Amino acid sequence: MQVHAIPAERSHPAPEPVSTYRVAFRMALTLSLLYVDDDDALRDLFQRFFERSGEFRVDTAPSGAEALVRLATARYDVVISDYQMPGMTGIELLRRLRAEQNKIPFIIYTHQGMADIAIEAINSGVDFFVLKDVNFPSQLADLAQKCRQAVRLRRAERSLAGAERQARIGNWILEIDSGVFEWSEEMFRLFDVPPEEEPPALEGVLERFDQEDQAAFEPVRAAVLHGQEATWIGRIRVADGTERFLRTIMAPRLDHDGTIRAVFGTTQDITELKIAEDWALQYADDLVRRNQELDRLHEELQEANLMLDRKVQERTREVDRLLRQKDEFIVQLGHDLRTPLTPIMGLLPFIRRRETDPDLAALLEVLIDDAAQLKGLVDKVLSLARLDRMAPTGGSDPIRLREMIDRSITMHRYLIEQSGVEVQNRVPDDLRCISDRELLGSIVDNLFTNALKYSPAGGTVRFTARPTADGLAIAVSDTGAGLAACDLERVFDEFYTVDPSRTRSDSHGLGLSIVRRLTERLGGTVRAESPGPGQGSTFHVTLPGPADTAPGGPA
Amino acid sequence: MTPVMVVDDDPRILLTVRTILEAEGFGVVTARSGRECLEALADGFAGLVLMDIMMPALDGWDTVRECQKGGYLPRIMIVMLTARDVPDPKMEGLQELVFDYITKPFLPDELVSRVRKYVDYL
Repeated sequence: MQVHAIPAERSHPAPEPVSTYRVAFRMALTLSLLYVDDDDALRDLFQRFFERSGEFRVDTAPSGAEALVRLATARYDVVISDYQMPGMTGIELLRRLRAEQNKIPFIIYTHQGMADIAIEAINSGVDFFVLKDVNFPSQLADLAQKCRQAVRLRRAERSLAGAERQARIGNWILEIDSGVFEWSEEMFRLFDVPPEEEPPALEGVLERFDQEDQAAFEPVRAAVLHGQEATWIGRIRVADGTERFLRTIMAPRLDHDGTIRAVFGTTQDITELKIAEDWALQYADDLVRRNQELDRLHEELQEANLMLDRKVQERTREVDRLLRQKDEFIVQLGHDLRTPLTPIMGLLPFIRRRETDPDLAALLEVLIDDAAQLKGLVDKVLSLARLDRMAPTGGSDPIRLREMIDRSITMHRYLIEQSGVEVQNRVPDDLRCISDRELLGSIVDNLFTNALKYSPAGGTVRFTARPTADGLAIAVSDTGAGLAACDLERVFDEFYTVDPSRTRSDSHGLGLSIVRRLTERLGGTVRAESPGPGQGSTFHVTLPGPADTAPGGPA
Repeated sequence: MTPVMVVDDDPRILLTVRTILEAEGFGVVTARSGRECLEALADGFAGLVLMDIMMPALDGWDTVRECQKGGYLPRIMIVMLTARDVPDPKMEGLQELVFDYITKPFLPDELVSRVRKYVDYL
């Protein structure tokens, strides 16, 4: 072999095209090349030529045996080998590598142009078969190009395998006539077949699938054989006993006359997808079930509530009934207590007047006083007993307050005459209010008797009232005993009387406490006001609820 | 002097009122029930009627209504005797027919002075 000049394109250096050249033709990373040839000169020439550009790093070996040693100890991107070498031919070297699953790009570079050698080389897995040419420089440029192609192909295959691995998707080709089934690397993994084995025949593969899925495959097979693309999902059970869902998309490759030559397919492991889908379905099912359960619980709750309502209503009716019974009892009790008191109170003073024995007369006085005391107690205690049950009815009829006070004055006509007190009803004639008639009447009555009780002869008791922003204000003032500042609040306590020494037989310290409880019952307030002892006092009651002085009464 | 009729189912009340009023010189008629009261009115009684409210069978208010029906009101004055201190729903519409109320128990002086006043009106 002769030494040839450097290729023409390399003799005219031009800065810009270099960059273009490198991007367009140069491979990323330096390619590491093993050149195997028993021709020492050629090896030397080859090495110098390929290393010039910096794109290749070249090792050489003079024989197949030495090549194997180098391949075992270093990593190469491509092997270029002579065919005819002593000890081991290039094809024998290739076969040894392929037998070890070594897929390194392999180019045979030889003088032997015989067809049977070329065919043998191709069958052994050679990438390129290049005849040694006399036009050496262009030959070497062509070889460099073929190296790049072979490496690119390997890189592309590796990328595809990596992508397939990543996606758990394999691809395959089935040739119809020969039945040859060609699998990508990932297919072996998907079907748990050792990579060194031949792919099983189609029927063998189908047998791996679930019976049900096999049956479902038949119409799919028919569609594909009729030239349609089709998708089919089947389950296989793999060595570790788990189920694997495989989705296969098939596309027939047709001849120009429409007959099917082959089927191209991809098969993907969609187990995770399936699990997620199943989980989603399960979740949706659960959700529906849970909603139904919630609905059921809701209904039960409603039923329970209804029952509770009924029970509460029953209980309320029962309580109402008992309260009514109690009210009737109190009314009856009042009647039954007062009736026997009537002869005692009525006849004792009568007897006393006829009694001439002063000792007996004095005893009768005691009985008369006690009877009066007893009567007062009965009245007040019954009022208190009623207070505990009297719920304000908030009657809808407007109450004419002036009339109500007039009635109270009439009821106490005798007491007024006895005490010699002047009573003035200054409540406007047209004042109407909405309140509980019974409770309001009781408030007025108690305030009135209280004022009468503590007014001296010749004193005055005066009623006034006016509507306020949110209700009614009533005032009862007297010119009587009056109150010290410290008594203004205590006067409403039960059984409190201002001056125990002046306690009258008909005073029990209950009247004003009844007034306070009544006003509170109506949501109102009561307070006492007095300039001081002996200077009279005024009791102010405020009550909520509509009150008006319009002639038609409150709306 | 104007006669007074006391209507009460309780003989002790009848005795009390009669004793107090007779001592003051009033002529007193007693009736043990609303029925007896109406009988006395039918017999021509005219004057003051002190009427208990809570009586069995015909109670005070029923009797007042019967008095109105019988046309006796022009010749009598009715004052109710009551041991109740809460308004009675039955009094509705009948209040206007009675002149006053006396609550039990009462002192003899109170009864006498009231009765004197009522009688003065008659």
